[in-house]
Amino acid sequence: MIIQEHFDVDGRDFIRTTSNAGRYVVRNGISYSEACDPAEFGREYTEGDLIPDEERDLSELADKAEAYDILMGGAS
Amino acid sequence: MAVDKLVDSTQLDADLTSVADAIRTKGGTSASLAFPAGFVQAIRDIQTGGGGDMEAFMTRTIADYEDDYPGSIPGRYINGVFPHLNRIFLKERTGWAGNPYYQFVVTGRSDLAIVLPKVTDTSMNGCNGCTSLYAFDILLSAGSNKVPQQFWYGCTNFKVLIIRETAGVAALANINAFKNTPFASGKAGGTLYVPSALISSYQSATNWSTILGYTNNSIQAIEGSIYETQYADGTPIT
Repeated sequence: MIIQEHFDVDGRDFIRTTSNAGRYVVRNGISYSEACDPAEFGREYTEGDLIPDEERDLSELADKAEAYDILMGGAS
Repeated sequence: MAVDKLVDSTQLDADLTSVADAIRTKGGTSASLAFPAGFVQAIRDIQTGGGGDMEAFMTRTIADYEDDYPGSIPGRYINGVFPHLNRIFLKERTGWAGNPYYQFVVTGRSDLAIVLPKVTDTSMNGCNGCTSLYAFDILLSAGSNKVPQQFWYGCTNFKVLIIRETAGVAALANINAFKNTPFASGKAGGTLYVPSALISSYQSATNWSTILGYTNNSIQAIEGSIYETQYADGTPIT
């Protein structure tokens, strides 16, 4: 299922679109592991192929690295 | 001790400065050098053949290595600490598999330019963690996931991105490609150079529109910039 959530950067509203089934999100034939757009674009996406495990693992690794950096006061 | 001739102190200063500049250039430093101890120490600190291995690598075609490592640039030739390296230019490569520059950290400088004028495809996390990377210059064709997630993750000095493809936008798989870089939200900002005809397309493209929507980032046309006639490392475009 497609999931959309709003986030704010520099006072501007953006929308992050992901799949909760671990799939790419697709628009106009282009696949993205995650799609972020200014909210005013009002873009919609469909689910595509499954994201390969190695790519998903990499994403999780990056999230853990970021958490470590936050805890240790390292790179932001 | 007798003084057998007058010393032109201005000329002597100029001569010493020129020697110091040569030492600083070779040593990859801009530090002041006290005479004579500072000169001596700076020369001792220059690593033997600094960057020489990488110069040899860069002047060979990647095909030399693909005989042994089909389909990938072997990380063993790239990864490591090269204090004097400031350019990687792979002119013969047409595709890019694997993670050749993963955690390729060059200490002591932050002006590495990676130039890939024939690479139209990339994979996975590319330059992840390359803190010396300043500029990335690539052809990179249009289509899905041409810039994979985490591609420049953690490249904390990465400020110039040049994408030379004219046919369309190279899709950005995920804004995390720029995470922990100057291009990320709230950071100092970077500049994306693309063909002038594609500027509006990048400004409205998924993920690129978000990156370019951050206050400190900018997009400029390659045409009219210094990158119209030279690659990011200063090599003339012929």
